[in-house]
Amino acid sequence: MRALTNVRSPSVELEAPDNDSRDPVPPTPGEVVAAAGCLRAATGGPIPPDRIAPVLAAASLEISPRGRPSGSDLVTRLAGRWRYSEELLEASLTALLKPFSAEAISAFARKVPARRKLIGFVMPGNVPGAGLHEVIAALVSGSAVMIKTASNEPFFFREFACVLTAIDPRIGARIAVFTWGRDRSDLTAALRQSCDRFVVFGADDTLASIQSSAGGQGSGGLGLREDFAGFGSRVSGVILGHEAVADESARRARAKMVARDVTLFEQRGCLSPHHVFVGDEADRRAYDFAACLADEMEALARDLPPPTSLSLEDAAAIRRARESARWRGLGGQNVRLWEGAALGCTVIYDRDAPFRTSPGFRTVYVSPFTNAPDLERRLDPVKGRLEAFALMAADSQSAPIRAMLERFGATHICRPGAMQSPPLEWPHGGGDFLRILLDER
Amino acid sequence: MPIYDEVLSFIHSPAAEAFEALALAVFLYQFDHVPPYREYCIGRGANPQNVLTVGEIPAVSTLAFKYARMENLEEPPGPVARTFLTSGTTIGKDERGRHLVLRPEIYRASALSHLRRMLFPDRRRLAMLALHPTADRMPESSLSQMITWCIEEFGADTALCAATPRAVQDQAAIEFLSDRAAAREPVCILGTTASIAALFTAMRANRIELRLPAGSRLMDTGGAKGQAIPLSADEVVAEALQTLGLEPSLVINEYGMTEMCSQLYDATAFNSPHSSLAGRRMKLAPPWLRPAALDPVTLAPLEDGRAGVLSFFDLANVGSVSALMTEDFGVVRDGAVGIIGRAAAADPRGCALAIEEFAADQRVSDISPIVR
Repeated sequence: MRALTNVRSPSVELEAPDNDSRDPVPPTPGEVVAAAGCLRAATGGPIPPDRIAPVLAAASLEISPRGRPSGSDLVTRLAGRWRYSEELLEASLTALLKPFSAEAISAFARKVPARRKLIGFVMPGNVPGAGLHEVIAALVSGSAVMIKTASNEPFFFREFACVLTAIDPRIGARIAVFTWGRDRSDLTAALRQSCDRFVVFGADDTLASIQSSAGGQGSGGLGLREDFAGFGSRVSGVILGHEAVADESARRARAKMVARDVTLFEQRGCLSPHHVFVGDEADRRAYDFAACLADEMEALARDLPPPTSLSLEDAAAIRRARESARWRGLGGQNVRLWEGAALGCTVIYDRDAPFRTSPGFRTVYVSPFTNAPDLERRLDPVKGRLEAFALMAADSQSAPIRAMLERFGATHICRPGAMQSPPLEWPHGGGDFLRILLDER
Repeated sequence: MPIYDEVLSFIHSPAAEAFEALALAVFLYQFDHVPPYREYCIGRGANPQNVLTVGEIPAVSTLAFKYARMENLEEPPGPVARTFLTSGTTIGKDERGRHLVLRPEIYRASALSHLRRMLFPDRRRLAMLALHPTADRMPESSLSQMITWCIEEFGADTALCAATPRAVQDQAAIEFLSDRAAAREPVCILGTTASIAALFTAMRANRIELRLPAGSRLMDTGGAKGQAIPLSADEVVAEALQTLGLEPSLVINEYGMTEMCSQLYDATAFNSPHSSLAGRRMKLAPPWLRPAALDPVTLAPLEDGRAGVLSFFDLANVGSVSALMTEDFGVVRDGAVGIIGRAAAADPRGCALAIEEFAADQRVSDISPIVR
């Protein structure tokens, strides 16, 4: 990998960036309860799903970054807070919002029974906009939503609510957005008690903690009560059959798409791939793909620059992944490291590795697989915790691999390049939320 | 004079102005004799011709000791050479780091000289309680070796090792401490933070609080990461006061690792005029160990007081690689080190792991007093 000359070198920060001066003030418990009352009242006059759908589609379009003042302001604020490049955020949010067309939302609306519930959401702080699928699904069903955002990402849903209200105040009255920190368990309890359904995104320990304080009886931190849906830590990857990288042209085309899947959202969300498995008949196809992916990630970094700064913890974790790979290679193991300038991107070829979780920020592993049993063995460590997989293989190979991925828990199986744009009916996290919404349990 | 003897001589009579030249000589030696290190340096464009200061010497990740032979491959290990192993991880026992120490007398000189300054500046000989196995019980542990040397050098006639590789023998330890309190005999307790935490837990469970005689002290190492019973540095100090009656300034945390022959210790009023930084205790290195905080992006040394990945140049590592980059991050100010944290996904290290095994296998009854 050549040194990048036009990519900013990230600095390292020990402390989190300063709070945006426009950060919202936390509510009181009484305000949370009062907001719940208003939201319930707003669902009193039924609005047919086919009238809600176009409003939601218009709101999604309005907060899309490309050429829309709301979206572009949102990108600027997110970039200021997260130190991500505006280009990266634009591309990431555009991919996230892609599935929310009027047609898609209307089609989904026809499947969802009308509801007048109040659904509480505790949103994650790893990716802006994460949870939008569930919010739109809830709103289109006729329910109201009360959202608690993460402290480090108070912008996306607040902007979405504003845009929605501007387009249709009756539907805008069905969404309320608050922000408070993890330490305010009194507010989380008020949210929990005010809502009919409670949906929590976050790391497994966050889920376990909230579920425990709410009196849940989960198993392994992810168990569900009837009215509780939890989205815990899950991982994603890519599988490319032997023929998908048969020649230089195919290899390059696949690498471009995989580079995009890895890069969007700085690889911080559950849809971002950590490990790419390439069908290999002892002919170095996986190795060659790794080299090609390194080139493409470097090229993409010119269009979508990496963050201007990293936390010390994140930088140290990437450094650790690199040093481990470097010394395993120097020690004689079949491992090769490609390093982008600074810590901009990292590709690690590891011939014998099972699925590895990367530290994010454009750090990805590539390994060969020889056949289905070999692939299954390599995925075994993350069995039950898969979210998305890009899959491209010959038809004969694709079906059994898809079946295995589904058996291992994958909820979004797509072509390379589409990982960050799951459809509205995506059974995120295993589908508990959708089952709540559809009353299948 | 052979390079090993030069280093030994420096440890016995440190002269700050001689450090840089000796460090460069050690680098030259290691570049010539440790092939994986040479390959790494060449990869980074560094060689003895263009490296002119100690700050320019490429630091090797401590992970390297897991995967490559970071040792002098041109000199066969003599009969006194020792190989120390890291603990590995709970899921990777097969990937243990290995540190070949060709001249253990250099490790001994380094360890004891700095122990004398930081833990025994009053030159007292004390009763000794080891809560980590001594070298006869765990020869592959560099900490075990250091504890054994410490007991030999600074111990009085009474000593007990109340740990095996599988368990802390807390009842024996409590009995030993009770006897020392009754006899008004000051005692020095040596162990990992985890084993010390196990002792505190046992004492609380038995509703025992002791007031150890004045001058008693405690050295713990390893920190709280990856332990069954996490205990922060502040909690160790508070618990030691509560359950043993130890003066906070006599509760001293050690920072060390298998891959490095020198150690750092908390600076307290007992051993140093150095103040803490923003409420955090700072650790002092011996004159033959130079710390630096590196920018994790560029690997360049950072200015004083800025947080980065901690690295060290340890002259006492002359037989392997002296320039080490750890997985810890912290700050260096006026040569003193403040530890802030550890890289995510980093393995629980060395001593910290043993207690997980201890917790699974408590109450082993073989107790063997050390015969001096």
